[in-house]
Amino acid sequence: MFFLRGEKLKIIVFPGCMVLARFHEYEMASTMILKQLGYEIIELPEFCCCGASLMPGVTDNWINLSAHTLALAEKYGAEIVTLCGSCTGNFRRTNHYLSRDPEVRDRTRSALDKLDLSYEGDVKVRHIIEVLIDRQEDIRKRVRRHLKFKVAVTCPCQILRPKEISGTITHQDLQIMLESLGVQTVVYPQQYECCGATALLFDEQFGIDKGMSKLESARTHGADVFCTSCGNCLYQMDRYQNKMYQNNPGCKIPVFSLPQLIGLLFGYSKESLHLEYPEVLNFG
Amino acid sequence: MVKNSKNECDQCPQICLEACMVARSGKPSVLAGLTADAPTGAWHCVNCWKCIEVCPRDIDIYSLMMARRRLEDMPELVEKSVDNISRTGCSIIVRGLNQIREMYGLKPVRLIEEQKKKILLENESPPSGKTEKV
Repeated sequence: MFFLRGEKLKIIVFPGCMVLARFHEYEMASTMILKQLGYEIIELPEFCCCGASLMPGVTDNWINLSAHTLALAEKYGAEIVTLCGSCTGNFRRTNHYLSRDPEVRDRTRSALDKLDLSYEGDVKVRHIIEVLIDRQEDIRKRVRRHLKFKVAVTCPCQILRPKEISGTITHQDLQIMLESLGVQTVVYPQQYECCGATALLFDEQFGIDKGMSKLESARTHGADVFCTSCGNCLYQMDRYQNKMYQNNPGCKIPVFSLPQLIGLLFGYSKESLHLEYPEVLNFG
Repeated sequence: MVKNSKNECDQCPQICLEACMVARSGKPSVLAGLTADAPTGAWHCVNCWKCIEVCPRDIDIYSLMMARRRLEDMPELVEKSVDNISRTGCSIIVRGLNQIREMYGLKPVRLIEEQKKKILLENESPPSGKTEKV
């Protein structure tokens, strides 16, 4: 990563609907870490859903929703950094279709025209995990704290698949980076399984079972903390634990986002990162 | 993302069904309908895209699935989220969102203007649009 003549790289942090509405601590930790790594954060003048996993099943015009945000990013000369796997996938899919399908391109151009916007299709889209992996050397220089707890990590499915639109990282890269930063990670059988969060929309119990099965896989293989960085995955693995463990609350496991974990490594207080787990965060 | 131009499933050992957590559980999955003439649940998908990863025929499962979804009823919660996006530009509605954001030191957000969102979602294809296929 190079900064030309000290110029900061401009980014738009796109939280996605779920993080925007429910995971303020994740969004806040993300902006803190990205600023510390030297990025200039550009605020979007208006937020519009990327289309989520739902709108493509409703209308071809879902692409216009994400193209609208991409066009704004292009206008401000900024990259997009997403906090949700689903948004990453949708923005990249939009770039993919716009670059290959003239019919889609014409349709989107016509819609953006009416809003006095245009989009050439060149905005880079990365998920925050990918950004932090790219910047791991700079992160390492800032590590100030050793963490005693063991972490189970996972990556959002849509930043890894389908391969035609995915980035360059593999599922293992996040774990390798955290180990190199001194974080103890665990290997667990369901590490590469989907958390099943989207199932909560069509079959709640099935979704809960899938999420709990993954959490249990992590917990029984030694994890003190579960780390995920996606709105849907956080919703499933964190907020649904009350339902998963309603008869066994002692088995609940703290869930951190990657920027919160990096924030702890940087020496930020647990209060400033809005983490509320005194047992694992007893730094002595 | 069409790779196999005919999009024909040749009924391989159906490894997509093995890769799919919904199909493996025995629940109706959209893949069941794509690989055979079986009842489908076009919305019964967790979007993990393992099916696309393992398909030996490079079938554009994503596009087929989205087309199938438009023929089937949405689950209630999907319908609610779609309605929220269509009305407000955000799938989840939180009252007093900006006050909560302020407590976390986050800048306020403004959701997209209704008229703009309407244009994006309801825009018709231009009559002069090219129809060249990829």
